[in-house]
Amino acid sequence: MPGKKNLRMKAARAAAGLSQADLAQAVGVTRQTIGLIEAGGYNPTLNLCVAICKALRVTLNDLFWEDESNVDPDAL
Amino acid sequence: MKFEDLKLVQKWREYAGPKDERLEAESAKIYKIGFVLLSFGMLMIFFYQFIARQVAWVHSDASEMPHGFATPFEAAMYLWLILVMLICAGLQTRKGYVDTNRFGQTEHLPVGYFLLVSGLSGAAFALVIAAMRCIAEAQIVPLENVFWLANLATGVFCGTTIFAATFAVLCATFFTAKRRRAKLEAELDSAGDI
Repeated sequence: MPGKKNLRMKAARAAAGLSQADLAQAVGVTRQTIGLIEAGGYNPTLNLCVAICKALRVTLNDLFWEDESNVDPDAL
Repeated sequence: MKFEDLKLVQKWREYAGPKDERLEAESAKIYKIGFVLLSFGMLMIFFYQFIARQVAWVHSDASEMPHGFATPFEAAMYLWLILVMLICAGLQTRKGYVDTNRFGQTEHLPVGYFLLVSGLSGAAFALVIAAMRCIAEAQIVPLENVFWLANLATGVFCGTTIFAATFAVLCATFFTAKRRRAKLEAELDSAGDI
């Protein structure tokens, strides 16, 4: 089942001037994996999250942390 | 030296490209399905062949028991299959297949759960073995000559044996997991770098 889209990652990648293929090469995965992470179709491991953040020069919070206001309280 | 550290492997990685964690995870799921289908399919065929030979012997005049395998190659193939399945089961146990969160901190053996799993395994095997014997027998003799009750009794005997064996293996893995966890915690406590 597809998850939530990660539009912040897409924006950060665009801001860094990288295509999906560029980012994929930088972190050592395929372009499809980057596409799926942005589309919410794949949950990356923490190692990959860290590698993506380093490549985009942002923090884990910037890309992967949900604010409490965005979290469904019933899901907790 | 780890396999990943070998120069030949590193050269291959450079040539073939990086490993993709998503593709590895997807491949693992696909191979798991393939392994289960292949191994259990082969086991079912093996059981049926074995039972069919034994049933044919019961209805024949031959005094010597038939061999379990037609050729040594067939024997080697099925022994290899069983060895591979045992290795996989052992590795799963080492990775915490039995030591789940449900029983992670419990001090007592989850007897009820293990009895349920063992009971279901034993019942399933009893039914499969009895059904296979009846099907195999119906291939060689008229239906009125099929030993229905004897086949059911054989299935129940085999199912009971499997029930006991499964319960014993589950208990052994539970205690092994507890020992392993205690060892890991002791190593963490003695690390002294917290």
